Amino acid sequence: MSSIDWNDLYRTTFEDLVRFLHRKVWDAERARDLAQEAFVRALQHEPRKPRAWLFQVAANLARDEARTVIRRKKHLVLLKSEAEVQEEGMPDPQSRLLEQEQWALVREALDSLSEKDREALLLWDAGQSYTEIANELGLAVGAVGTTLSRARKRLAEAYREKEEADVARR
Amino acid sequence: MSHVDEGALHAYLDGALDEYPAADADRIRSHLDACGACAARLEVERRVRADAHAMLGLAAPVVDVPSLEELRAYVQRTAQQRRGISRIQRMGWAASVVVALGVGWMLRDGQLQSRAMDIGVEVMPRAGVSSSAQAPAEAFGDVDAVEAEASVLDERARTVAGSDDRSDEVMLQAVAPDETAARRQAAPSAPAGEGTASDPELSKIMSTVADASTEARRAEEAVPPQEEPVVAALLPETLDRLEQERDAPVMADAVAAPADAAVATAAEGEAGLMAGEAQRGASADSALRRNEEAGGTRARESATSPSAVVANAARNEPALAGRSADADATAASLVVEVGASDDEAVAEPLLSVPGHEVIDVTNLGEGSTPWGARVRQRTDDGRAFEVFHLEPGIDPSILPPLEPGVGEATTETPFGWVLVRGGMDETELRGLLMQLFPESP
Repeated sequence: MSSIDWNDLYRTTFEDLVRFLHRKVWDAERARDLAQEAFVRALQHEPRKPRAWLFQVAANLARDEARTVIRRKKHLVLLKSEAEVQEEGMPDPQSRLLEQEQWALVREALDSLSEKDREALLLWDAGQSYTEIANELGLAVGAVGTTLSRARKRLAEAYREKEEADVARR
Repeated sequence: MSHVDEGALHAYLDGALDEYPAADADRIRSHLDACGACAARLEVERRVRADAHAMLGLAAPVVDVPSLEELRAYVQRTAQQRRGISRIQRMGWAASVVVALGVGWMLRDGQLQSRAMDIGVEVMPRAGVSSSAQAPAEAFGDVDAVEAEASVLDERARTVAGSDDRSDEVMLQAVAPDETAARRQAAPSAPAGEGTASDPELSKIMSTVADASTEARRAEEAVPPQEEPVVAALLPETLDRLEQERDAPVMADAVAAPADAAVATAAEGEAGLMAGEAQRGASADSALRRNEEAGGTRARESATSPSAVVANAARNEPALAGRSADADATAASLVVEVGASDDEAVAEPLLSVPGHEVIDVTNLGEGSTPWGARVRQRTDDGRAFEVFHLEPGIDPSILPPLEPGVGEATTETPFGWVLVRGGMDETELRGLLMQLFPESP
């Protein structure tokens, strides 16, 4: 019998997982899709450390996603159809454009980080503890703070540089 | 006393000092309380942290959290489908084994005689069969509508198959009706020294087939434990039915080439020979007589014959196992009963309609997720029809719409939907469908 409190885990982790995945696949629907897939796998496997396991699986899914250009033709049945999403109302085109521009800036800034720094930052932002990040990235717990410090600085700098370059282009 | 490094400052801001060794955490806290310079640096790092957090926040999607119950239901549904998929995968693997065997066996030089005997008919001169060589190809000309539908589905299967090699099309050859397969097994199949495991070529084929079988079992074992069907004893009704069918010509014993290769194969005389064999009207009676004459010795010998290998490979697939040979089963139409209890036993549908030629078997699916199988068959008078087995939970609407002139008979079973499609009237289609459930009341 599983000792995992799935309701609590789901409530506290799902959004973090989507956010984490979104910074990797840059597609909100796809991130949600992959987060569901990670949870589906967790429900099937009932891992001992489910939260860490979920992020590990999510990272692998995102990696696979990046490797395969081919998009899945069929989403999980849980996902809403496009028609349903449209019915719920999409943001107006201008807001959407602004959002896309911001995402592009953040994406570029994140891309300028080393892989380890980026991963640490995304894991932290997704609610992972230092210990979990350390285990995931093979670092000492004491090194996680240093990694995060460097990643945050670099992200902020890169974002500003790209923002200024963007303004100069216009 | 040395100052606190930036990593420790971020750990402090992140509330992660408790994850540090206690002595280190205490030292950092004490220092930050006492050192003005480090307190100032802490404020700088606080802003860096806040900026980075805000920037990441710009790229945070609005998350619509689906209900956990929906996810649970999905997991349950897929678990059920996986049980069904296992059955389809077994079909596919067993069919692959039959294909490998059939190709290898038929390509052997000088083995036509033994093969003809193996399927329980007398050998006839090639000249005598040439007139019927076109039969399979002509037969296909009568079923354009069904073929059109088949090509649509083929295209669809290819599109969705992805890289999963288990989804590749497999062609089932040398599949005969249940009873003839059993008789074939027991009939004298080859002159002494031929067609047995001692033949190096055949041994090689058998080795390949055995490897494929092992691979199939490994693949099955990789899937979480599933409820395996329980093979029930032959029912008296089966024996009665076989008795009634004893006099029927073994037309379906003919080995058909796949649809797209039928003409070419026929031109080479291969299909012609098969059709000729059937046309000669070698009856089940004669095969049965040979079976009786050969007795148990032959049955034991044939345990190493290709048919026996197929039987082993297909052991987990009752429908196919029914078509291959169990040496002791004079009637090979094994009825499989699956159910939570004896009271609720339900007959699993056969893969194909007995007594009709099997053209090919195709796994239908998407990536690594098969959702069904299609068996194309042909009646004695050359009319093609299709049998679809869909996994539990898969709706028949997934299939392409019916072409004009093509009818359909359907039934839902605990193993998923089963459909028969062809250019026949409803009564005939329904009759074909019911033959998939020979033991149904």
